[in-house]
Amino acid sequence: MKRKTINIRHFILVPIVYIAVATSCEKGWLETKRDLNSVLPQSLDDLEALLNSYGTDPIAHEYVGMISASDDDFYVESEQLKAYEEKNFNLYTWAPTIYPGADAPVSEWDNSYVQVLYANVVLEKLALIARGAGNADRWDNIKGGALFFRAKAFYNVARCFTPPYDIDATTALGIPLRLTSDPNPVSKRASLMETYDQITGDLKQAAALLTLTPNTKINASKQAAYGMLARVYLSMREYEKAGLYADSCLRIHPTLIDYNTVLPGADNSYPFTEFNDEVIFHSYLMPLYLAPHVSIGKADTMLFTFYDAHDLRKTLFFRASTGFRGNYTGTAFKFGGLATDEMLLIRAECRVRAGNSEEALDDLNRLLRHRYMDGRFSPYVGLQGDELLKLILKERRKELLHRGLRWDDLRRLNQEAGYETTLVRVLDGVRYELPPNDPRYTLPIPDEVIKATGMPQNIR
Amino acid sequence: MKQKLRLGECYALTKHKLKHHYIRYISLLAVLTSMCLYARAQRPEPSGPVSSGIDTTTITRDTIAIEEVEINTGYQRIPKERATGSFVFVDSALLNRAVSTDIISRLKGVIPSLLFDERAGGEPKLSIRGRSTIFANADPLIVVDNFPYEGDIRNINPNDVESVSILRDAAAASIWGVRAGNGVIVITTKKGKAGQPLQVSFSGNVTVGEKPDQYYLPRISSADQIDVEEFLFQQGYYKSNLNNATSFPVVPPAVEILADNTLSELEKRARLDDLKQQDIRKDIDRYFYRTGINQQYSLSLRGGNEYHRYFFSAGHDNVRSNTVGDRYQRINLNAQNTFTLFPKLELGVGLHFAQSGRRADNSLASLAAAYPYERLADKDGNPLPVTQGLRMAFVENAESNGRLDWHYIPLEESAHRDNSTGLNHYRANARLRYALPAGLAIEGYYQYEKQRAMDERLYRQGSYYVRNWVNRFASLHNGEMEYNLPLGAILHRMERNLETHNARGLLTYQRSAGVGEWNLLGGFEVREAKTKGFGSSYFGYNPDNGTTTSVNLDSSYVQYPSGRQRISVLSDQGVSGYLERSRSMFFNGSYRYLGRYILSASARIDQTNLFGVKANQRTVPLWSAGAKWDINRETFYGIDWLPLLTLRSSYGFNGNFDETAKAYVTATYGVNQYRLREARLGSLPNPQLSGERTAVLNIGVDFGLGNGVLTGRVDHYRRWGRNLIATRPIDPTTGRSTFRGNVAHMNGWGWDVEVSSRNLKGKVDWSTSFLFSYSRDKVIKLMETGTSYFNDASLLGRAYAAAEGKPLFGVYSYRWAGLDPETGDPLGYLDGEVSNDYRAIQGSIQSVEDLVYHGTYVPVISGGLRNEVSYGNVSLSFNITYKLDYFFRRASIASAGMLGAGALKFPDYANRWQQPGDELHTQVPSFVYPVPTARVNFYQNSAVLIEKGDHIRLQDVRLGYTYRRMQAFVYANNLGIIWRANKHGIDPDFNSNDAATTGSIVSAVIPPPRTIAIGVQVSF
Repeated sequence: MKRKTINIRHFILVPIVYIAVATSCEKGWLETKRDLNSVLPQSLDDLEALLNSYGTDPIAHEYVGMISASDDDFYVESEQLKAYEEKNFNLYTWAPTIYPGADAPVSEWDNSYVQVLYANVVLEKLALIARGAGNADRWDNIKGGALFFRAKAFYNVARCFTPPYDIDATTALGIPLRLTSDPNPVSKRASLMETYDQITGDLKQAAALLTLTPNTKINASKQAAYGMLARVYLSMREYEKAGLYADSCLRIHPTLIDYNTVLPGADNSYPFTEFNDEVIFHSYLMPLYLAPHVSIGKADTMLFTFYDAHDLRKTLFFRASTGFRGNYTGTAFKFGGLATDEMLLIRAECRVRAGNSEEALDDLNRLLRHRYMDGRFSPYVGLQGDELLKLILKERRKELLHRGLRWDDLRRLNQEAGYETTLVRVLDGVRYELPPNDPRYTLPIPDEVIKATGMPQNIR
Repeated sequence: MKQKLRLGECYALTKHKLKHHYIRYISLLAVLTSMCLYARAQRPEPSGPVSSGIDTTTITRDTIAIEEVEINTGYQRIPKERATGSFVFVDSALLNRAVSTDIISRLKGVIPSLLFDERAGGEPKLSIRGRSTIFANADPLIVVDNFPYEGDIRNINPNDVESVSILRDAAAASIWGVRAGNGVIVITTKKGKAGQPLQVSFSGNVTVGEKPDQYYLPRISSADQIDVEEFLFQQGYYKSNLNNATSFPVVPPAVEILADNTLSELEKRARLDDLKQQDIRKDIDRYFYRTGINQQYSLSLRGGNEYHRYFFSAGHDNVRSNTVGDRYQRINLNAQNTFTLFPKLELGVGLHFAQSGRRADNSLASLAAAYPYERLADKDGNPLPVTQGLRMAFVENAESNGRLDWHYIPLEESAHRDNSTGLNHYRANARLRYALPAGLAIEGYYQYEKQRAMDERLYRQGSYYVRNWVNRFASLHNGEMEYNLPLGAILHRMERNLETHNARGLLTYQRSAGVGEWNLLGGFEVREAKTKGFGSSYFGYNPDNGTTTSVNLDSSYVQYPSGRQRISVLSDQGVSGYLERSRSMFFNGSYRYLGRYILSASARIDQTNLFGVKANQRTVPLWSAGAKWDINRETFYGIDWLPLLTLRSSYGFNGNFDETAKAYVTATYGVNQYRLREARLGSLPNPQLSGERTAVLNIGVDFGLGNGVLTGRVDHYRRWGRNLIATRPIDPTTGRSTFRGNVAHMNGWGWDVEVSSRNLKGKVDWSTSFLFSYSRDKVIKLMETGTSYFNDASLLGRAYAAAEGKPLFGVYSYRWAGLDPETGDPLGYLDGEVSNDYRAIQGSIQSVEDLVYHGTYVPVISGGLRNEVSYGNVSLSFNITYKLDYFFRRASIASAGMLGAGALKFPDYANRWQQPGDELHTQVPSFVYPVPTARVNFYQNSAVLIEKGDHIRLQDVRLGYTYRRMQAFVYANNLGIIWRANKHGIDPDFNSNDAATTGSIVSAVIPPPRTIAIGVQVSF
């Protein structure tokens, strides 16, 4: 009996001791991660994946919907406007107050800073990975990508929420430049100068690090970084630099689509395809207000008269109703990315501003040859100076509508004598006007940000 | 038994797929039965006293019998007299008083301090003693047979439950660890008893339930809806949709008529007038609801002798839900054996098996955006199409455009889909106890649990789902229709597997030495819970021969009529996994001196594999200490009329892990729409994160008047929560708009009272039990993290709005100044002046101090009163419950999508201000177009829509007749509200102010309909 008891005692003790030893001495037992799909980002793979974020937190998109709802590329009829939420009306009529109360999220701010967070996390984690011969290319490309997306996000915030860049940039307020993922420091607005220095600095660094062309067009690349630099410098009215970067971009990516090869399709279809040959960097313009792509928004009447009968854009860009359908996204979403046509127009504008009318004309004629019916385009010759500049700016309007660029153009050109525009809208007999350089060209910062940080609000 | 077999045959006939399983269960049961009968025959009859008869399960009697009760903490059974903590015990008699398929709902209204919150619809949220944490997960821990239960709690056959103990103070946490911060519900299943001859018990009942009340929630009438639509039509509101030849968005059927130029004005009027008479709720009531019938049968065998004790049971539940097409069936098998192998060695083995099948017809949910005047069937009952997804005018032409029929016909849908969930759950446990000399014993516990759930959603080609997607993906090429999404059925399959291992080693010591008595227990525990999920989708599936068609998930196709899409958006393909590990060490001891002074202490250290936190944050130490004084056992005690008087107290710490709060940034992998591997960042990292600590003090008195005429317990508790973790709004410039971190200190306090009285004894027996709970909490400090700020979240009906000095779930509103007599505009106050500048009013709110504070969202006072009267063989009992001192926001208007598809989200439309003078009898503002967002927001969150939640409810009535070992009963449940403070007929327990459902045709939350059950319980 005694023997037996001892055996049984062992029988109980052995598994107990085994479990105790197996679990408490083995350090790794509790280190196992919980969620199969969750990681602590630390490898280059992880960081690359963060820069591919497209689902919940798209890192590529341009969140500047509000400024594109305020521009003069289109108009909406009064009765249709009423069907929309109040915010749409406020944007459309440049009301002093935009947000109709309730701290509803403002994507133009929030989502851009989500992109900044991603970029900062990538940069911080990348700093912990040694760069060596084996991984240098990838390492550089990741760093360049993070800098590119951060700069782009900063720029998108700046073009919505700061006054246009000008000589007072040192005193004017810019945006909060969050350069780490640490949420603790209180957001403070940098000066406008610091803001743009950061943007251009990051982009230049990115351009040096990135590969010439991207893997997929939603990824950053050298051509995209050059393209962004051209776009940013143009908005800063630093035309010489803008022209140089547009040129650098075009040297890598000169392709233009001959619109004669594009089938117009049914009236309700979208003739262009996603990632088409002109696209340098692909992104959506978000969010979509007033959805001008459908029957609601119509092309600005004046603008529409600019297209002559042999201009293929008249059919490829517009429906019968003059609603816009020429998105380079191939869908109802507006295109916010970079494409050859924009670069060509930037270079043309900068060349004429630099007094190089000849080459400017070359650029313009090259673009338009691809836009007109075969044999119907007679190239412009002999134009120069103001006349040519005005022509290029007119073609810029005709080519780059619904890409979120018009507002920036208005802001910068209003600062130039002879190129100002007063925007006017009439709804139910009420006239709404936005004179040049009006403070309403700067959107108010979201109420909740002001509440949270106490940063100064823009005066409208 | 006969009943059972008949049912079995029935079952086999209707579900041939399960036939074999069923037969297997029956035969298994038969084998087990014969085994134990054999065992019984082999063993000599026990010499101990034969059990005096009736099993407690079969007879309803006094439920609070303090002297006999043993509380099972899940680690040990403590006689109630030795417990220093705050426990509630519910025996099987009280559990069996109610009739339900699951065990949890039987706890409703019978446990002080256990609140069921059903306001959001769906599964009720349980809370014990209010809220001690701000966590999203504030659920109590549920323990079944010594281990935390990980499977679906609905798997448990309530007839197998012997008792339920509720642990509600710090002792709970120091026994169960960090997961017990919200209290513990310990469920103990039945086991065999030594010295009991074979007892066979059968219980069976049938419950019949009414249809849900479609008219419970206010909603705009059909006539009003059509009037509004006509007004909007004239305003051009629908113009863009009517002219939209790209995506053909939905326009209301009435507008379709108005816009139809082929109709004469007279014809239009006639058609609209006809629609105005129609109410879709009538059709929903007729075609989607039916009388619910639940059946429940359970058979058990129980007995034992000194060598072997056993409990075998089988249960079958068949729920025919009150929604047409919804069904739930469950089979439970249970075998518990305890063997005394040697005098000092005891082995317990338990096997539990549950299989359930659920069938759901979700076509009702897709009616959420239907129009109030639509018809589901014509006069002859022929199914009719309703508006869905695309404009009806476009849908009607689909077939002539070479597409599949694109109509959505709700009444035909259920024939084309099959939505089922099958669930298998196995639980096996073993317990080994070996008694060592000198009062020591070693115990080992092990449990293995496995659950496999399989969701299948089959959409046949005739279903709207398939027709819609096939049409959208099809494109016309040279007159040939090309189906990028193949014809045929679509099958989505989701498999979820859960596997847990629990092991525990214990050393116990029990010794009475002279005047002292020691009870010590120490040990360790390891636990692993592994979940894996697999999703897959099959396209072009043929349910008859199992063939499928491969599709290109990643290609982007042009959609018809517009857009671009990948088939991958339809696919459920994916693998997920989750692994939770923990190990703990614990100690638990008590010392009783002179039989009347008890000191107890317990301590525990928990470690888990939390991810993304620092190593030291994975460990949480917890402890508690308690004392009890049996005053009535003192020699000086001389109060004869109060033979029981004891004082209890406990103090200790709760802690909590929070999985979602991370010190480091984490990311989740996925694949983006370009098939690139993408990673999504989790919440903001918080390196300063520290664990929650809550100190809990409990002081209690137990008393009993002579002969048990009046017994009761009063508990007072105080809670000091420090560093509570929560999500709070943060400056969105940080990249996230919320932040998980230590945000507040919160104190809580309250009272729990439980009194039972035996009012009459003898031929007429009358007993009463009264429950009362009072629970309050107060945020005493909000941590300033610099970037955090106040956000009036509660005004939007979500989360919480913490403010120092106020409860966590405060109800706040804008001050209300009535309606403008000229315009019917709602009026508020701005800087003390009456104002209609809504945006300025909202902008002036800097903190909750600037709002009207009403009270809390959670009842401060709750409880019940249960009376039981018996006369001879007949007994009658009824339970009244009450919830007092709380507030809720009434639905009257929704700001988001108010004019969108479906019913106008303005259920109070009929009561609105229409002309001067109306302000004298209504507080509902006028309807203004275009809809000013700030105006609607203001009204929606104004004081005028805050209602008192106080109410008293007759929960249930039970009438029983007992004859020897048999009882027959009738039980009526959800009988309704006796008194309520609000004047709008709202049941505050079932009130969702969710903007998405406000005024919607298909209400998310409807009070459960009345049910009546009849049943028998027999044992022999």
